[in-house]
Amino acid sequence: MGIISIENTDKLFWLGRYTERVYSTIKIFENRFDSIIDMDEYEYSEFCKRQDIPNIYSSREDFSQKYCFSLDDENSIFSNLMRAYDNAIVLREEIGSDTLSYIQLAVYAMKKATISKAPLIGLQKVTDNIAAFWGLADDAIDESQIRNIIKVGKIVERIDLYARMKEEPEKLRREAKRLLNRIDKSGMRYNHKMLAHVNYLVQLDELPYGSLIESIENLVGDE
Amino acid sequence: MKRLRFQYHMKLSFSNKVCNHRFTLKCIPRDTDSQIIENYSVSVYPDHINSENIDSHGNITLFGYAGEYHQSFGFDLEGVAITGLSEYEGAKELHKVGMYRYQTQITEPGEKLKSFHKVILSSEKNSSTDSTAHLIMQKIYEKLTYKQGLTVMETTAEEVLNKGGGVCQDYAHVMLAICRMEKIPCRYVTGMMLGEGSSHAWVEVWDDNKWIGFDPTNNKRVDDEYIKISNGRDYSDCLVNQGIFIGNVIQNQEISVFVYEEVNDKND
Amino acid sequence: MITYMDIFNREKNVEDLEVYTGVGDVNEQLARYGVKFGIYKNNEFKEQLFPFDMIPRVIDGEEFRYLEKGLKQRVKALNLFIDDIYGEKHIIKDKVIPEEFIYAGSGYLSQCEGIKPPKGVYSHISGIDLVQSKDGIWYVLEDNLRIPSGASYPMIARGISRRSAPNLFAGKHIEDNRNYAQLLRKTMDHVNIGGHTVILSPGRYNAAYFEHSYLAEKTGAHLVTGKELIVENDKLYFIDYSGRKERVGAVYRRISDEYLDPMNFNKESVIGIPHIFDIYRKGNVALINAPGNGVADDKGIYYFVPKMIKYYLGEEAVLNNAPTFLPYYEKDMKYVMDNFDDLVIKDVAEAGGYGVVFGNKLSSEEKVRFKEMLKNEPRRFIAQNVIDFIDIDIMDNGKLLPRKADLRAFVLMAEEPMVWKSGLTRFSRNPDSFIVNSSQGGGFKDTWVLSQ
Repeated sequence: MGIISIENTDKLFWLGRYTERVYSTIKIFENRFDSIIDMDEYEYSEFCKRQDIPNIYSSREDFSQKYCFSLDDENSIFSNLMRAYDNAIVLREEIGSDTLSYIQLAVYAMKKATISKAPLIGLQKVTDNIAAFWGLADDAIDESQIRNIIKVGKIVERIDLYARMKEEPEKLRREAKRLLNRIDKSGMRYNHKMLAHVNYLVQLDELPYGSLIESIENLVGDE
Repeated sequence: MKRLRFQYHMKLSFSNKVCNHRFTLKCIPRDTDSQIIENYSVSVYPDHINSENIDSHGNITLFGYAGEYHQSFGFDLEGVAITGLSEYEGAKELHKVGMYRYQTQITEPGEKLKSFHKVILSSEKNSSTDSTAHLIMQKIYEKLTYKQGLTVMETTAEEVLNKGGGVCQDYAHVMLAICRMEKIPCRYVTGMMLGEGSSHAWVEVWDDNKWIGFDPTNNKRVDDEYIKISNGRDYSDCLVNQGIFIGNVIQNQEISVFVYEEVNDKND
Repeated sequence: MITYMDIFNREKNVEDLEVYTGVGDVNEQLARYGVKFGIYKNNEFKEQLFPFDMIPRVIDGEEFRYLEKGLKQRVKALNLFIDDIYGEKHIIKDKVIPEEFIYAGSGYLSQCEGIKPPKGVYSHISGIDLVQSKDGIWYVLEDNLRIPSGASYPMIARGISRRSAPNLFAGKHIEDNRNYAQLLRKTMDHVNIGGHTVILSPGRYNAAYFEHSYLAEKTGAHLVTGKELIVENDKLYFIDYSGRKERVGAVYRRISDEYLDPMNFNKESVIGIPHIFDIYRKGNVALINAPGNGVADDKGIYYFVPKMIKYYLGEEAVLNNAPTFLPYYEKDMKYVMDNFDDLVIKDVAEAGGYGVVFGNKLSSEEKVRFKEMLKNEPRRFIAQNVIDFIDIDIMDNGKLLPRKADLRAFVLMAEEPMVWKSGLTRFSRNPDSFIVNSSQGGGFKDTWVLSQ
């Protein structure tokens, strides 16, 4: 019927952000894990610094265990997945039971991965389900506004993550452009000046990653 | 019969600003067999979306919403009532009498009330409801001491007996409890009384298709010096002001009620 | 009396049952869709899966038509009763029901005096709990009119079961129960006074949150919490993300009367909507179910339902009450005292399987104490003969085990009462227990109504 409350708008946005965060951090973790195996024992401390999360880990093993699976670690991938779940569970009538079920399945997959002897393989099942969630969200949700809010959440999160990982400016430019195309279709309220500023920042040759993170974080929400 | 002019001023002051304030006011007296409200005016501030309704007990209800920040809330009411038109109120809705025969959370008797009830009843046996109610009123008046600060708004009738006194609301609740133990339907009344001060509370007792007013605080029958505002099963049906708002504040309530007789110079 | 054995064997397929219960792992599917109910343990909210057993309760067409007739009659009478109680109260004046049973019960709300809800419907969705005794007779155990829950479970389980074992459903003429959402939508639209229809939930930490969100999805109603609705100018509005106000004409509220409106009921309620009751009084919004309708589902009032049917409809009750005694009446008190061991005593103020005492399970001291309590507060209790109701098998690790099961039938009131051709069959997981409530650890089954 095309009416969405402020609360649900907010939840859809964060559902987009958290699913992206879980998906991308698993991907990033997989890459780093590969290099940690036979190279740099302490690479995870650099990882924490970039992610702007406290390094509370005592060793390589401790890091891979807690950062992925500990619900006591508020920055862990599992904690972020539960945040995605908390937003999704109250959106059943907006996104539909079938779409929602993939978030539920991702949670079950994460629980299995936690006790698995091959955690990376377990984590792959998590990303499989998130990818399926996105696919179905795109395909099965009639309301374009709902789809667009989730997508805006995804892109905002991606820009944020890329900036933290100091990715190539070209990648950030691409995402910023996608954001520009999408955000007005979502009907969300956002800070127009801030959006212009994000677009200005990504064009600079020396990309100021710090300011970009700050700007993108303040794009949506209370002005 | 009297012609009474009344003024009711209520003001809530908050120690800080509040918002999203929803309120329900039952402050406007209505016409009954005993009184006619000739005219009245009421102003509520902050001045806002106000609606009017009649509740299940027949009381006039004003309700509304003040969304923006404000630091005080209140109303001023004034008008003229012709009182003493009849010694009692006739029953208009017989089917509604039943609900007043049963105790509420506030009047539910405990051990103290039960034994007090026994004492009152053993002293005399009365044939009519009227005289039973009169006796109950008198015994309560003798038993309790009028004292402010002893009780709070939510104090139950049983606790009032424990404390040995209270204000008009407490006297009324005790009387309701005892009458209901006698299976007599009775209701709580909020109103105003001749003179200067605050609002008042008393009791109406059902006797042979009539509601008769008793004022246990003053040990007298209700007469033309009283203006009735509302009635219900206990005080909670008759709250003059009820509200919820957002804000963590200390509130201070100021109430002044002034009722005086309008002297009619005309000879008739 | 027909059971699942008949319909599985009728097809001369003895392996049906094993195949049916063995495939697809329906419980895994239910977990996938988050079919859960919430429970508070040590002050912590936990979500539990509601265990589903695949062996259905089967009711044949003719038997169901009998139930349907009785259920419609019962709900009609209950509606007339509520209308009477908040109106002229003829049933009290005519001394069919003692006044005490109305006013001293917890279900009566004086705030509802004199209110006529839209289209005069008080109990839009009624959940009537029935059991079938071993000799095949159906008895009504309880009427649930406040906010009966549970329809969503058989509804979603049916879809999953059919997907798991399609061949087993073929040719069995089972009434489709997935039309519950349409029935509900029709019921809500019938009383909607103009505007959107919303389902009001206390939030995700409510025991029945799954059901709230699932029914919202399937009926196309908006799922809301109290803070998303606002009363303004005597109307109810939903505020959307852009700040636009959308008029709401019907609220299927899944929060109890007490918490509905802090200005009229419990002042501490933070999940309600201030002044919603005031505009309901003015006829400006429909509330589903109507506030105050609990006056008719009090256990004390249950005794009088057959009398109500006679009084309002001039008909004999089609469905039986379980034989019930009211200690309030002297004759019944004597019977209860003399036959204490054969009776189950229920506290009228309790629900959810609490406050139920079996006479023969008490020690002799406890008996003395209980009888004393009965004498002091006769109105607080009802006593019933223990009905030896039928067992239905459940499948537990490949073994068939008999368990007590009841049936909650759903009656929805639009123009006319409609009986959902299914129901929630709840079973006790404990073999010695007659108590089947989900809050006490029970599970559920689907209910198959045969169309022939």
